[in-house]
Order: sequence, then C-alpha cells, then structure tokens
Amino acid sequence: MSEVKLEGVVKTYPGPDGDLTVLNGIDLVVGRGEAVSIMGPSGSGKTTLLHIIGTLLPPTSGRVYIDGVEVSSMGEGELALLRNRKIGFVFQFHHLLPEFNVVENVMMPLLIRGEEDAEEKSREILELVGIAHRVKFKPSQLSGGEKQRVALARALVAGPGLLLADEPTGNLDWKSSLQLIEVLKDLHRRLGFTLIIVTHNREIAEKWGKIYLLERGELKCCIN
Amino acid sequence: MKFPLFVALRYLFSRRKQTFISLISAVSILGITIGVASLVVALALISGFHGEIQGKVLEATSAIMVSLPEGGVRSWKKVCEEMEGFPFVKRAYPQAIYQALARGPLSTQAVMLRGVSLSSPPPWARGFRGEGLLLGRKVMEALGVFPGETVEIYLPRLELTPFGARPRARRVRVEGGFSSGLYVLDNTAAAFPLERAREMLGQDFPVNYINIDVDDIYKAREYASILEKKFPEFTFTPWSEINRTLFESLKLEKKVIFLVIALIVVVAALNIVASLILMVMEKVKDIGVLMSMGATRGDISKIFMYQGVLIGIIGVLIGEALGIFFAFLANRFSLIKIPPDIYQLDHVPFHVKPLEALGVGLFALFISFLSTLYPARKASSIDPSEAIRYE
Repeated sequence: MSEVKLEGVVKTYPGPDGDLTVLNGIDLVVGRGEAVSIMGPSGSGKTTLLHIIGTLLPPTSGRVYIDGVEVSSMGEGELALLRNRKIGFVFQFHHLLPEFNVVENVMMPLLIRGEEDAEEKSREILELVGIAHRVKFKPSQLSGGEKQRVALARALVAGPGLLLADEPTGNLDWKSSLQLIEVLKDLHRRLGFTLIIVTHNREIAEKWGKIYLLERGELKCCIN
Repeated sequence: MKFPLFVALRYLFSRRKQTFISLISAVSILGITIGVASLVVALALISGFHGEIQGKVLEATSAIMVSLPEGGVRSWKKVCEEMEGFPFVKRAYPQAIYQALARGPLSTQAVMLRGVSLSSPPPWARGFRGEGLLLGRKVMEALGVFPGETVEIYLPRLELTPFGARPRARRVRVEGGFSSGLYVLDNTAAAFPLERAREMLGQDFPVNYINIDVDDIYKAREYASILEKKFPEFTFTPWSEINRTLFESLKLEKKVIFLVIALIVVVAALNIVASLILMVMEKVKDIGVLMSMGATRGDISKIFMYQGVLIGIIGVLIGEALGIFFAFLANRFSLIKIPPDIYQLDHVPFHVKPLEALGVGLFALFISFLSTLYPARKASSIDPSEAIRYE
C-alpha cells in the first residue's frame, strides 16, 4: 500500500484566450490503504488530477509525493518503473488490447518487468476477480462487466500499492456496476492497496470512505 | 520472450481492424522478397558468367603467361623445369605463337599458329598426336576442310623465288579440330607440334611463351612478381591482366545491377515506413495503456522496430530461398538458353556465392531497420495521458 500526497498542484493548458487553469492549488493526502472517491462534474479536471497522481502527466506547478518520494524529480525511466511497481490504473473504457486474450492482457505489466511466472500470477488474480473461466477469450468476446473485471485484474496483477480508478463503472449498466464495485471492495479488503476512485455517481462514491468534490479547479474534502 | 518482441509479433500476425495495414505489411514483405530474390539471382548470374569466362580464359591461356624475349628461347625445357621448382607452380609448359595465313577450299584466312609441346600440351590440345595441324572448329568451317585433308599455310617468312620474294608456303595435313568454347581459340588457332615444326613447316619456331599453372589462381599476381625477380628478362602477365577490360566490365556490371535492383528493396522499405506509421496511428491508445502499465518509451520504440525488422527477416528468408532455388533450377535444367556461338555457353550459368547472398540479406535487413526509425520515434513520443483519455 502506498501513501499519496499532493501539495499545491496546479495544472494549466494553453488556450486560445490565454492559459486555462484546470487544477488550482490542489492539496490532498491519502493514507496507506485508504480508499477515497473524487466527484465532480464533467470537465472539472478529475481525469487530469488522476493522471497527475499516476505520473502520466506532470503538474504545471506543485508537488506530488508517492510514499514520501517527490515524483517530479524523477526521469522518464524512473517514472515508468514507478508506474509498473506501485500504480495500477482502471479506466472508464476498459482499454484492453484487442490482439491479446484475457490472460495475456493481464500478464502485460508482469511481462514489462520481465517476470518469469507472469501467466501463473495472472491466472490467480483472474480467479480473484471471478473471470478465470474466460482466460483464453479475446476482449471482443466478453461483456462490458467482464472486460472491466479483466482490466481490474490487469491493474492489480503486479501488486501495486496504489490503484487509480477513473470512472470504472461509467460505461456499465447499474447491475454490472454494483458487481464490479463489490469485487473491488473485496479486493481492497484482501490486498489492502490505497484506492482513489473518480466517479460522477454519488451512490458509487458513497461506497468508499472520504468523498472529495472537485469543482472549478479546487478540491473540497469530505462532502459526506 | 521479451515484452516488446511479444507485442510486436502479435501486432504483426494478428487480424487487423484496418485490413489496409495488413495489406501494406504484406506488400512490404513481398517487396523485400522480390528485391532480395532478384538481387540473389542477378549476382548469381554475373558470378556464373564471370566464373565460366574465367575458366575458359584459364583453359585457353594459363594463370600466368610468360612472354619470352624476341626470337624466343631455345632452352625452354630448362626454364620450365626451373619454374616448376617453385612450390606454387603446378606446371610450366611452352607455346610458340606466330601469325600466318591458311588457305582452304572455301577461303583464306588469318590464323595464329600455336606450337604446342606434345609432352605437355595445353588443356585444349589434349589428345593431339602431332600428325598434322589441329584447327579450331570455326577455322575448319571457314576454310572448308575436314580431318585428313590438307591446307596451305603461308608463313611470315619470305623466300626468294624466280618471281621475286614470296611468303614461304607449306601444304600441311589437318589432323582434326577442337572446340574450346573460347572465341579467340576456336576462330583463329592452328596448332602444330613444336617437336616437328621443321619437318612440318620447314623451319623452327622458337618457343616465345611459357604458360604457368599455379596452386591458387587468385594469387597469380603475387606469384608473377615472385617469378619476375628470378627471371627479370621475361615478362609475366597474370590471367586477370590478360583480359583485364573484360573482367573490369563484369565487375562494373555487377555493381550497377546491384544498385538498380537494390532500389526494389528501398521501395519495399518505404512500404514498411508507411505500414508502421499507420499502425502507430491505429495503436495510439494501446501505446498509452502500455505506458500507464510501466512500459518505457524505449520499449514502445522497440515494438515498432521489431515489427519492421521482422518484416525484413521474413522477406529476406523467403527472398533468399526463392533466389537460390531459382538459380539451382536454372542450372539443373538449363532453363535459360542462349546462343552458344555468341556467348560460348548454351545456357545462362548461375553461381550463388554464399558471401554475396549473405551480403544481400544483411543489406535488406539494414534497410528494413532504417525504415523503422521514424515510426518508432513517432510511437515513443506519444503522450500517454492524451492517448488514454478518450475511447
């Protein structure tokens, strides 16, 4: 499990009428093993914030710490290693690689780090998310809920301390959403990773500890 | 298997949403295949011709031709023995070459009288008994004579007659003909035995050339200079110098053919660039996802480099196999016939040199590798955050 800390994170994008500030001095601390949700309307910068925490996007200013280490001083290679070792992503759209079957998709983070027993570990995590019977299926042969479970397995297979979920149920029907959230809660309890989940659905958000609201570039704590 | 190779193999061989990309990849492989096969066949053709011509030149002359001083050398036997004392000399044998005119029933034509020693004849005169003249087949045809008939030989010596000075003429029996496959011999040679020159032609013809066979024809130049130090009064000419213009033109031809046909490989490489760029465009989201999982920009580059190089390897392997197989078939069944009176060969010979075939393969692989650099760089510069933001 990892600790996440943001200090005065600002993100601006160049626009036709000058810079557009999406995040305006965000401060956030998420303790080890904690689960928080971030809500906000479309275009409020939720995904941008998640990408900054996940080191996919550098902030314009401010500091991001993962396990007490400031990530902006890291080089490209170190950040890639950090993402591989410590961070898992689940996206709104499953983003599974269509050419690979279920187990191969899940193996990918382990293959990147060159692990020998990648397939064995992948089968174990697929068992945990309840999709072990589909290991040889291609993503196109799975339902939306199944695809998101595979995506969840892929995000967790390398044993990250931090899971970042960006609208994981945004593309699912209500029943599938609830099933996925139950699986996610179960895995969070068993594996103890730190979880930051971005959603615009209040019912989904309320299933976790703290709820943050991101509005007009500012993050407000504990609206529950 | 390494992660980039694993992904590259799957990208290359899986069915694509964009069939156009698969088609371009297939065209790239086909292009490399055709280019490599053409290069292998073309180089094999030139090498085959070169080898055949070289063989015939060596048969007609020798590895080193020694020109003796004007008037020849009477003690040629001793000179030959001394030359054979060098470890690299396999054989030294004499020849006397003089111009003459021959008149037969059909025509009169210039011939080269070639005095050969019956005890050590050149390869084309093996079996010559020395009972008359041995004529090149084309000389026989032109003169219109058959074995057993006689021809009149006009020698390059004048004799005084009541009607003034006239070239010395002798009627000589024709023992037979030979066909060496070399134009200059078949069309001009009239061989006579050195040992019976006076009896047959009425005068001696001193040996004015000595032919030397050596253990390695490619060291002929080096050997010639060694011999030259021992026999400074003689002129030593290696075989490559005797037909220098011919061999130089063959070499030039080989280079030009390589450059022209190599363009096929270059065009195929442009297809690789196109297919990889399209694939990068199709895989932007996947690249972002892989980077979110910890793939480095170097890993992403390698995925597309491997793909291009794999296209190259497949094309090279198929192309080499096709080229070598065609060369084998063309030799085995004499597939490409040519008029022997023009080319001195009845079919186009192919000789695939392993080093040349290897060079062609490496060249095609290198071009394939170069063609991956730009698309790989493009792929590795993708912003992962932007790539995975939308479906």
